[in-house]
Amino acid sequence: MRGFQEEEFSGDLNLRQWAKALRYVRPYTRALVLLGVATAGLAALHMVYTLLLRGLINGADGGDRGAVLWHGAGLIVSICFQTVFLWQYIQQAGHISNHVAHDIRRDVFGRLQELEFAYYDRRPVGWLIARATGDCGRISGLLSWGLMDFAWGVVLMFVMAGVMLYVQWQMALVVFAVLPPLAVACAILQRRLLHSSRAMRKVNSQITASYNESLQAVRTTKALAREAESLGEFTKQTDEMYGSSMRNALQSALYMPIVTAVGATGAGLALWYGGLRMMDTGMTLGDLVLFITCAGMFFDPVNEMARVLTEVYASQASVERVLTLLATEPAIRDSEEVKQASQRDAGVSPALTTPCDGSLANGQPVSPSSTVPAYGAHSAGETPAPRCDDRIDTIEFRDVDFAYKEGQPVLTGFNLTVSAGKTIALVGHTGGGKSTIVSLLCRFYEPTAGQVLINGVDYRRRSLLWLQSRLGIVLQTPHLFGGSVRENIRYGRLTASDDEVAAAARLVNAEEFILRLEHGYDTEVGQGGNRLSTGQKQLISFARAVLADPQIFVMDEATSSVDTHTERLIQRGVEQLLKGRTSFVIAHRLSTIRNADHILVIEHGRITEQGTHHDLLRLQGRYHELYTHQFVEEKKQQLLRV
Amino acid sequence: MTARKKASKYVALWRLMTDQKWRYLAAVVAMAAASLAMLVPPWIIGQTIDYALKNEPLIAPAWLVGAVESLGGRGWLGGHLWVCVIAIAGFAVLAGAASFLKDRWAALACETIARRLRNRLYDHLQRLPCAFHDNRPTGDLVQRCTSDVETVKGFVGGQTIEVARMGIILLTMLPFMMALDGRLTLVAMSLMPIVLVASTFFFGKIRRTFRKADEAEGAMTAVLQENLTGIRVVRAFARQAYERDKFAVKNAAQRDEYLRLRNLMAWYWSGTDLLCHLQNVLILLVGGYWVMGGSLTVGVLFTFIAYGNMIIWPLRGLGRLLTNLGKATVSLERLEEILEEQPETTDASERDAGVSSALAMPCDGLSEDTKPVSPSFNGQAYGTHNAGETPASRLDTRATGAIAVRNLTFSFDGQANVLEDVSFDVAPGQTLAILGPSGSGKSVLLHLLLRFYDYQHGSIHVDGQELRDLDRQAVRKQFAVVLQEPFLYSKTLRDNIRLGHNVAVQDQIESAAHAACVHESIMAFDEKYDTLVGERGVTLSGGQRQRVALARAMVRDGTILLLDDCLSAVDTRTETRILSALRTRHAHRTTLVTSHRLSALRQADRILVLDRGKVAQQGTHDELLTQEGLYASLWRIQNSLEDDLQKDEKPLATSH
Repeated sequence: MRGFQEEEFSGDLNLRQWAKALRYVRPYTRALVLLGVATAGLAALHMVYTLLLRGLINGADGGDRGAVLWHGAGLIVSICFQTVFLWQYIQQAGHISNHVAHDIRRDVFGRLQELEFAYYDRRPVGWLIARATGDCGRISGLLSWGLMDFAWGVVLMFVMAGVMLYVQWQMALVVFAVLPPLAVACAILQRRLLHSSRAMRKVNSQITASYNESLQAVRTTKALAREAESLGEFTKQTDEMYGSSMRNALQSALYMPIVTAVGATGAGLALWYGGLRMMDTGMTLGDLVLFITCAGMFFDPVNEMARVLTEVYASQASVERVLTLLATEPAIRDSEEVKQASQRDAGVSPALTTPCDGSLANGQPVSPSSTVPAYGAHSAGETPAPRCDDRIDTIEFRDVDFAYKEGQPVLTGFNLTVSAGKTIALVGHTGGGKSTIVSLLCRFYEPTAGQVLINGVDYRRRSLLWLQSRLGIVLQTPHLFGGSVRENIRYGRLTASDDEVAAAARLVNAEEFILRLEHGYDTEVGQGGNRLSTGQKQLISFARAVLADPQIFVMDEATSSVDTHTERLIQRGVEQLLKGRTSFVIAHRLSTIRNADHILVIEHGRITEQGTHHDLLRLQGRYHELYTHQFVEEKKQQLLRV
Repeated sequence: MTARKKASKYVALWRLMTDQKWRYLAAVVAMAAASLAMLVPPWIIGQTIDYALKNEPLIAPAWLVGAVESLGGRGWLGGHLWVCVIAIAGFAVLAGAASFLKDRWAALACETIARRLRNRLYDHLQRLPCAFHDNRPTGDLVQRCTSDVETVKGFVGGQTIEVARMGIILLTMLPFMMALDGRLTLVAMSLMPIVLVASTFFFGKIRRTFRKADEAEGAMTAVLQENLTGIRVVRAFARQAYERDKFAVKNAAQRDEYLRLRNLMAWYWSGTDLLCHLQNVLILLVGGYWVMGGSLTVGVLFTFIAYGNMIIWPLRGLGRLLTNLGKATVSLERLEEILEEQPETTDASERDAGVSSALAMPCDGLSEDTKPVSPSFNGQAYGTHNAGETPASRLDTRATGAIAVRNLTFSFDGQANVLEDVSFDVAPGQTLAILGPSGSGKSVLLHLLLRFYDYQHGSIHVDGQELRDLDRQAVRKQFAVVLQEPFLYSKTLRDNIRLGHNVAVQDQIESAAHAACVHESIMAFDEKYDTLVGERGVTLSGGQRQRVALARAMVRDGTILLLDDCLSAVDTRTETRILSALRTRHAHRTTLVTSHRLSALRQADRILVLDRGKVAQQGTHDELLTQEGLYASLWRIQNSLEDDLQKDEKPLATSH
């Protein structure tokens, strides 16, 4: 996330990207056809209307009552059709744009669920949200409204030009003279507007950031008594905002006058040339009115076309970003062989139980060849003795290297073997690689070199679901979802009954405080759980993990200070969690560390010391130092807690 | 009551605009000129058709008729049609120029209002007391200062002008039309009321649907955001499929709400489209009949068609403008809520005046600011004007840093006391360490020294001066502070340190950074002291942030140094180095430090132990060690550690 700069927009127009995005419209072909018909109808009726107007004026001018009546009736019919087409146009364009936006969002969301954490590390959440909201809206808008507004402009232009050429080709050419200046003016001004409004947006986000900063810094600013200076800095930004807003306002103020002036000149030209023709050749008054009207009407289609083109240009970055996101293949995912094997199983085993993956040989030699057939088999529901390796017996890190960024290794040649039922405590300074080991175990990241073996098989040969559905993870900062306490605990196992939820809560000592909440288990926790205290959130996340009843338990113990009572509850909760399970704990509590079966001191990506608490203390080395420090800190916290 | 309140909101809007009245007036004049000029070309075309081509009489002011007649009448005009073209183009350009000027003046007015509003909000927020900020979520305030200002600006800049424009077009067009043909004017106006009523009615009705669509979108974004922030939990429980379903529900709900909105829109736009077209056809049909009957000329009919189009189409959107009026008043209300909050008083004399003036100005200064007390719009004069006056000069030259606190009692809400009857003295140049469990009032005590809050009872004297009698800014300038969670601005590291002392040169900055043990970390960055801090720059670790803030405090000239648990994220060894550097650099400075580190406590001249807001113990290190209490217990941890280690080693010893 550090120094993450989003590319505001790419330079060139790339229609190929848009063509690719068009596939989202394909499911709505029927609506698109209806929309096309409505669009063409609207454009054609526009012209029919003008022609009828000409007929009516000619009739009135010539005293032909019948002609006036007929053309009047025609006008009424044409506006009725116009209404129907317009209705259809809005309905269909709205239909397509909303559905396309929905579909793109669905795919974006789906893709985000699959992408590996490394992807998230590089992008702030706000950025990702903007992709799924703003960008999707812009693309779908252009693929429906934009596309059709452009089509409308083109059709109308052609129909108008055709009718004018048909009625009086010389005069048509005279009126066409306004087209080039009109097109140039529209194109240039639209482009300028785009740039100035971008500048405005940029300053605007700076202003927002400044407000944010000043509110966060309010005490610091007061303490430094620099209110006047910071206001001075802020006024520079508002001045800049003023400047770019004025520029934008003046550009759009210029726009309409220029195009209407060009249009009026066109109408004047029509009057001049048409008047002359009327006098020499007896051209009808209706023709003259038709041309004058058309000259003024050119503005609409030209303007629409220029607008849509500008918007396409402006949204180029949006479409690129979204398509790139959709095209990003997750770096950590099931291999083809694993996928095929899981699909075979999916027919038999219910989706939420754990399908045994099959890591079948794909030409390569598979480790112990005798075990291969067994992986393909599946566990039959609840049978106590699964036929495949449903239980995890051993976990092994073999010569694992890892780096988040190239050239900055976090782990090098890391080795570790753990057998079932043991609690492993990882201790050491921040940045030593403890969290990395845990993330690798969960396959949130994969080793850059070496292997992680589960029951002797590289975990990349198993499905992600197989592994992750056997893992229970408690993060250092507990995250809850909006919803009730019950829903949050049930997240651990979606099929759990209310009683099971309560039992889990009881096991980790969470029930006591839950029942004291206003609505007990039905209390809403607020977005991200922010209506609960950190300690309460932690207890709920324990209950959630217990309910999942994982084979392997992974915990990053929190260091945040909570009150003595909650601390005691949490400590007992942790003990319950770890009981009888293979666990990996990044440990901070003395009790957790002391109770562990095996303690690893991790420094600089390696295990520097390992053993039991007693063994390690005797070494008088790093562990001794860490333990002493932790002891003092913990005791001090106890003394200083209310 | 509510009606009056509502009315007062419109008054507030109005007051915001009166300040720019000349620009608005100019905009209105230009607008009138533009709409008049716009009316001329259709009239010229109509009259040319009638007079030059159809041998009808010229309907024009007498002088113009006279002029054309003297040039040679219709024969001359028929031969010189280009004159009409020039006139049409000329009036179109004139209309364009006037409309440009109108937009320009309107933009100047509304951008000026917006800029003032932004600056004023910024400054006001800075000067509101900490008690205000404690209870306000930042996000909400930022939202108000940005999007609400934007809404108000859109209203004062675009929407009022647009409504006015439609009125002016109508007013200017009516006489024109009446002069040409009174009967047809009635026909041309016949459907307008219906369109207007339909538009207002519809946009009033649709508000609820809009809100529901907005809510559905909000719910969708909320799920998305939660999923993305909690992505680790989702993965930890392998709940991707579940999340996808959850999102699908909200995603579909949003789509369906918008589809409902689209359906209403389709009916509205096509319905009013029909009405507008009908209006035109009515003009054509009735006009056509009159033309046949000879009571109307074709030219006039043409002119009317053009005029009909000018007014009827914009009328369809008028309802939306009226709906936005409601939005703007709500936004303004939200802004006023902030602006009505009383800022920190700057000195004692104003403290008394401040109360009465707040009452005297119920709607407070969106009005131009002539009163001395209320905050100024541009804020330049803020605070500076009284810096040189009596209160500051009372605190003459440099204080020496003697602190005397007597019977200090403070509570946030007037009920539970956070500090109770606290008394202590610090001699100039001494260091006082404050120790206590969390929530015992350590930080609050420092905040009171800084006058972040007003204390209710007791007194704080610095060099014999009661702090309450002094200008707040002047008091704060006497201190150099590192707060518990120090804030670094998104500036370069150099600028951040220099904030402590604006004229500090590089040498001073570097030596402070050395003393704070952060110089080497800074030099390790590519840009060194020019490294940008914050979102757009580097992210510093907690310890680095604290040390930079400490360097900032060190370059500052304050006599008294306040360190609020400011080295908690720094390791013990570095802390010792920093503390000894502090001792040598600032031996003469009075220092107050809150800390849990024994090494820091040890170095203090005196130690004050707070417990639930009361002084539990105070004395020197040696004195406190002999007393039973928190301080002694902390020191005994070392002993209990040894016990613990021995206990662990015993079983081993016996096993050998």
